[in-house]
Amino acid sequence: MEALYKNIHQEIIDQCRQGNEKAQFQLYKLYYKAMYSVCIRILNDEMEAEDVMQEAFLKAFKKIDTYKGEVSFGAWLKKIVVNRSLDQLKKRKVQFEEVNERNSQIAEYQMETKEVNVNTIKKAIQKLPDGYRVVLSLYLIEGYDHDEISQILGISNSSSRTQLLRAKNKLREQLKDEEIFSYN
Amino acid sequence: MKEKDYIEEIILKNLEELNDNEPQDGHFERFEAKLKNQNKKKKFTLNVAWKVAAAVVFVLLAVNQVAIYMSPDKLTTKIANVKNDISLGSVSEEYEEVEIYYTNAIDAGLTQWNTLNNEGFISAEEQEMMDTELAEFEIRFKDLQEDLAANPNDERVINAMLEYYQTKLGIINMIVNKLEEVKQQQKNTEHEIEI
Repeated sequence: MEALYKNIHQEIIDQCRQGNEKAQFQLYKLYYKAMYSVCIRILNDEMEAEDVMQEAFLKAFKKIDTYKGEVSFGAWLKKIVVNRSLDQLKKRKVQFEEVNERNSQIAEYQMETKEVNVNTIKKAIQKLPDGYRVVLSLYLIEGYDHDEISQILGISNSSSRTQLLRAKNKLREQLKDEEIFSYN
Repeated sequence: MKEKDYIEEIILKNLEELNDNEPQDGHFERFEAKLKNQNKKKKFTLNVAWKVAAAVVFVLLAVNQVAIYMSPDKLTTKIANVKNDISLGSVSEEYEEVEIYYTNAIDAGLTQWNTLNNEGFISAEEQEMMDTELAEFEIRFKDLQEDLAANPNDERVINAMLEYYQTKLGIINMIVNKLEEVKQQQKNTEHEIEI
């Protein structure tokens, strides 16, 4: 038999299965920051992000019986949050750019590693266009691979790779500007 | 595969903080309200489920009752009831008329009997005899009804039924006439005594 994932908060999760409202609220307190962060990166709108995050929690509680423990609870919950966020984003008619293969070879800037303030990174990510921001977030932060991203966004694998490169370059530029700006 | 680039590095380095965003104030209260609302709905649907279950049980019980009512036992008594209603009238309209004549005549005879009884011309012994006689007629009638229900068009049964009515009416008339005679005689003797 497959070993089930042992969650740190297994007891609370089990209580949630029984519809215990206190446990549900406890679980929210444990995971809301991470889930809200996922939402805000995808949606780039505080109100929308909060709404989607909370709706995702409610949906998760509703279908908690389908969580069989193959992955961590956080990973399971995050999948719901990501899907809900993307659904919301699609309502805005965001087009996940299909990139022309000919333009897909993009040189990567190389920069020296410097300490950057995390708020600067957050702001820089926020400034990215929707498509870039989503691909970069899913790949670098949420840990999706290009196959998964192409599937979830309905774009090709190479397009996912290209958008990631472009996003990174854009981010680099922004951080560079920020650097210059802060030095001045 | 090349080494992690600058961007990847700074993101990985700050992953924890990148996932440490705080929603706007009041999000706990907003979520609590949503959670309560959802759980209330759940309870409500559970309530509805109970009501539906209760309704289903009720319907099952009702169906069961009907089934018991319609079960063979009851069905035979129902048939028996129908049999009770079967008489010459069920055979044809002509026979119905004959039957109505006889039952009316018999009823008239019995009414006479009852008046005589009220007038004190009938002893308890005689009343008992009449009752046993009528009870016997009733049994005979039931037998005939069953026969008729089994063979509605059998001439023999119809004739037996007609004979039954004739006999019953004959006997009642005979008894009543006898009693009337007795009554008349008594009146006459009384009259004679008076004279």
